[in-house]
Amino acid sequence: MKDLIKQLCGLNGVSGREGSVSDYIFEQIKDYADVNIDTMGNIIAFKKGKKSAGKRIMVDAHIDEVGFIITSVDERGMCKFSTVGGIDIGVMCGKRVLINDSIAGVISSKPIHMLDADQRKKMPKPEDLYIDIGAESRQEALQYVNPGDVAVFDAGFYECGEMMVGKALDDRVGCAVLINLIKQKSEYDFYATFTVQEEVGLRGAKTAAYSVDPDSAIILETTTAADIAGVADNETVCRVGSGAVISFMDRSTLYDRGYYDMAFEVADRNNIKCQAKSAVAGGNNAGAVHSSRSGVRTVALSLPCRYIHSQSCAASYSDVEALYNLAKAMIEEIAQEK
Amino acid sequence: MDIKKVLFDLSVASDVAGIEGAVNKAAQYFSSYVDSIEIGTDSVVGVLNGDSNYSILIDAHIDEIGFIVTSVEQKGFLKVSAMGGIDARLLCSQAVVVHGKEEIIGVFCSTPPHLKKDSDQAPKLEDLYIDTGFNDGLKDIVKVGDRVTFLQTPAQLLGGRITGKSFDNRAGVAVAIEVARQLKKADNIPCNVVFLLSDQEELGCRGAQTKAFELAPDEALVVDVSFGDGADIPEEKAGKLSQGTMIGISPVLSKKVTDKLIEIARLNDLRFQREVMGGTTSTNADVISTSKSGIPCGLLSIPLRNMHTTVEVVDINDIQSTADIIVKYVLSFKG
Repeated sequence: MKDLIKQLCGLNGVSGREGSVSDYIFEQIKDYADVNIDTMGNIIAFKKGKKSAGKRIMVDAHIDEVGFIITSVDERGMCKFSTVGGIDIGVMCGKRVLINDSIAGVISSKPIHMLDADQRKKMPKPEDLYIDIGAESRQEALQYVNPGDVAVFDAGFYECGEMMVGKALDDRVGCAVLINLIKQKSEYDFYATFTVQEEVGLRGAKTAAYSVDPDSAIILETTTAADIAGVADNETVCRVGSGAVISFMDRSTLYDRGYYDMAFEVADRNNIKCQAKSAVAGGNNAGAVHSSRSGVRTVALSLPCRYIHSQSCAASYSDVEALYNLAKAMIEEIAQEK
Repeated sequence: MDIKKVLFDLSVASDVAGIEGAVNKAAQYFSSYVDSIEIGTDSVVGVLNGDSNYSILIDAHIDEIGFIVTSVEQKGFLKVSAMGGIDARLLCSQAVVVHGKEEIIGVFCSTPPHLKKDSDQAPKLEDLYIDTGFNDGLKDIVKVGDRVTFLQTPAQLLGGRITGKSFDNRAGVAVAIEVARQLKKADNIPCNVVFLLSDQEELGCRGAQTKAFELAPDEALVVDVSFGDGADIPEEKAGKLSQGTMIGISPVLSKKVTDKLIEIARLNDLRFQREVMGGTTSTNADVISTSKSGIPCGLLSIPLRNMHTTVEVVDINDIQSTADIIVKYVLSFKG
């Protein structure tokens, strides 16, 4: 799974430009399931199990990542940009990016030597930032980059103590878990959806859920862990190393109470580490899926991740394992539930 | 010589005062081009013998900005102080190397947006932690006083432009290596050339101060980087990238040396720009010029964008032009 996660995070798939990620996933799973790609670009796969569940179970992970989109190029050859998905100003200043999988750029910053005391205390405004690709003029820049081109954080993938650190762990870890669920023998049939455009409004999941028409859904996600030094214990949301995260409510969904309780019970019975997401914050594809058609019973299982939506998302392999085990057990439990 | 390769090699080597990665890397390059070399703990002195006793010092500082560990906390977190001018606005989610008993990777913590009281407010370094991902056992590897450097791989941009960390002042070190390479091939060198890769510039030019005293050259050329255009810097305060070396003009620099640098550049049709300063230069030239009974100094700077960040940008051609002018300058010496 380690290698798979590293491979997936190394692929670039800003929302709306997920092609290389979906190509890779398609190759990974095509021999293990019936695989289709819909109009939006979602991969919808049917995994045949030993038995039919008698209900339609959808397991979802999104394949897009946050990034940047070039909006214009000025006369100096500097590229103005918007973010695609939510990126905090603090994690983009002075970072390296990669445009169109090939052109390196840097998010420029006035040197500290030239900032006055007030400027040092304030974050720059997003509209004052631009990407420098080393062009000497607009004309030169436009030979390589055009408005509408997208960029991702250009950072390595590292081992950091007991954690892995890299871009796009959100939600390539969910993708890796789902790929492995498909590659293993399954007790019950299920549908796997690898969805596009989560970061710009849960848009892929909306059409995928419509197509699959599930009775039940499991969303595999990545969620903010604020268990860092200097944060009070009751504000950590969840903790790296404490297992899969189960949500009761976030800003997109009030989760099915039965499935929420079931997840803890299943985890307990199978000795899988898990924890509750202890804040009503964020949102994920559950928002689109649970309200699809006439409603879908939905549970969200997440990987706790520090510094999410940055070039250095940090998470633990032991939590990935817990997420995998809990997802597998939940498919079976939901299938068996009368 | 592939200047890009040299600079990329030097860029990824760490050299915050007290860590010698870049010193060893630079010494390796230098050793083929000088007659004698002395590798200190934090600095390098290389000498090319010439035809007279007169000696010209060519100085480039080799240290970089970084951090020093001030406390090792619970659960794998570290607190640090700055070594040199650090912009805390750029640190969140930045990867670093902690030079403990072994080198480990860390990440500057970034507070999730939902916990930020005022998102316009820049973080203060004293409020930021480095996350090493250790649950326990960090104290066996890292102790107070250990150094921390940025983790960043260099990359090619368009044309001759490249980006990476520590181009301030590994770009200057690359110039010194290129000058040595060219002079080594010359039939005869009219004077001794002493190359100094000095330490602790970012902490106040301390390495150059003591080494200039020890080496006692007759004159000195300091090679450093200076502000390049780009990041909304007023035009008059920045050099233009790709337009050649910036020859420093300042009351503290020798007018004779400066005029000659300009004359040499003109005669040989080498690109240059003027960098005019009203007082001190914030480079090693400030301390070398008053060493002993005074050493005439010239200053050449490579224009660089985003100074003191992990995304510094320079143009290889500016490094080349800086080296070319220095080579012509040395060869034109008449005793």
